[in-house]
Amino acid sequence: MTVFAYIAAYVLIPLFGLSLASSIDSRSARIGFAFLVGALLLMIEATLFTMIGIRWSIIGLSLPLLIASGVVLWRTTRTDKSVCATPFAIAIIVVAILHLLLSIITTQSINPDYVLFWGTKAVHFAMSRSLDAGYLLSRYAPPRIDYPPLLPIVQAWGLLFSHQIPWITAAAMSAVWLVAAVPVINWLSGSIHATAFWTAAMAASLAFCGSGGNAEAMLVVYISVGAAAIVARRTSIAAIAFAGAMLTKEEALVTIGAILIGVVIYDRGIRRAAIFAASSAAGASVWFAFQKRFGMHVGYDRVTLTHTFHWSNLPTIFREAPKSLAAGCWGLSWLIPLAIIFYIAVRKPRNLRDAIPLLVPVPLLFAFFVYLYLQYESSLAMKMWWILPRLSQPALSLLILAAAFAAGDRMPAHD
Amino acid sequence: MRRVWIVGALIVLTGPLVTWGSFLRTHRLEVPGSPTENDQPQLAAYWRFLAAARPLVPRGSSYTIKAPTPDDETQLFWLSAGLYADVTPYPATYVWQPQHGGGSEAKYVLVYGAPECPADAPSMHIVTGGAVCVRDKP
Repeated sequence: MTVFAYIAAYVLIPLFGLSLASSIDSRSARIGFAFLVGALLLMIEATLFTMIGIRWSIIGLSLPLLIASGVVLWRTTRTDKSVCATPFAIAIIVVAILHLLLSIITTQSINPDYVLFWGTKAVHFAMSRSLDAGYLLSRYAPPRIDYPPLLPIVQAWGLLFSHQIPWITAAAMSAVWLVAAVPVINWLSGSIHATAFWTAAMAASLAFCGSGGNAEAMLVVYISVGAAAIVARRTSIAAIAFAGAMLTKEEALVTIGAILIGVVIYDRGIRRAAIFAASSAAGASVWFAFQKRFGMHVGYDRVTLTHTFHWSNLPTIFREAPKSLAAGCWGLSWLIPLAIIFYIAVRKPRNLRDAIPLLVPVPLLFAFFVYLYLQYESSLAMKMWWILPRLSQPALSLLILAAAFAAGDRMPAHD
Repeated sequence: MRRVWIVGALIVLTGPLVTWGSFLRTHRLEVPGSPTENDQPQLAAYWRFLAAARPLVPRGSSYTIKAPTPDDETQLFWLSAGLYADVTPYPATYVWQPQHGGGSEAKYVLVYGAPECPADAPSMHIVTGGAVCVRDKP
């Protein structure tokens, strides 16, 4: 019963986000994006409730978001287009998602951080029916109190229904984020075949990194949808997705920064980059405002840079990187899109132009990783093995999406 | 290019296929005893102990954790925060540092490893992975 109640809570989330997803003219993509937006709106609302002293309840949190969605849907008339999908591509997507889901259910891919602090925070937030600053600031606080709270709030939302946390089921909901992203990526890229590859690669990588219950799936999905929306010229979707990323993990700051450099180069102007920067800052400011309100240290506190470079780390960095970039398939998910991009660069170089916002961040992110690892004083190989598989996932996703857009094999949409 | 993507996806999925082949050869499919059962055996052992001890610690009471090393105590305490959210914690060790009082304020002492109760908590209940000891006067 606990498991079903917890899952039921997630079923409601797309209804919360329909207000900001109504412009999408594909039903499956609209529902998928509504899930991403619904989680974001739920988090913002839950944070604001705590800031003004309203305790969380299912009705209290649901009602405003459902009314907003209802009003927008009432006013919207639409003619949906169905995006083309082939059975074989769909079969690949299903197998890939099952791989991730079953890897989590069989506890091969549940992240230790989930039981050490993500899930723990969710339990305390649900118990106090608030974003419990008292717990975060307590004498025996959990690790990583500076992490933005989108994930634990969504997990706590499930707990409002189930009362007890079904630990493995709650971790398995990480796969739902990938499920939600698939139709959105398909709609934005217009290629079910590239979407199938993206899904296979990301599912393999997320399972390899042990992403059950932690924020990696969320982060990858928000970043991927945002980046694909940039190339597809869906500015509002990209802006919303980046706000979600900023409230998921602070690593988003570096990735979005690198993407914005790509946008500036591609646009030869700063208008869109400024919009994305503003939406990202707006997202982060919700968390920072909460921190300020309750006397916490304001800001992200994740990356400690000493600015002391240990150049002797270079051989270790290059020796260990391939192992950490295996992504659950011996690095093939990197090599195949790289080969496609190389082929396009030789045969149709002009096609690469539209993929610039996705291509530019990839080397920038790797340069940042090297910059970061050059400052490590000890245990570099072990720390790379812990961190790089997770940290490199947004770059992997961007590379695949860049190849997808450059390949340009968009399938026609049907009215 | 469409075929390239599909063939590429199939090639990528050989990675998971090999992973599952290896997993199914070495593991039986059964309900996991903890969320990290097949990935983090040490955390799984901590979890099973804490979960086994949980029914003996009533909500609203207080607990501390004793374990062979400060690292054990630190990780057990962080894990316990989710399972014992409705119980007041008095950790003997927090973030690898011994705490003032050593958890002596707690009513329940969760002893991980060899089931040996402290002298001031003589009432012992053996559980998987250790014991729960109860202080008469916390």
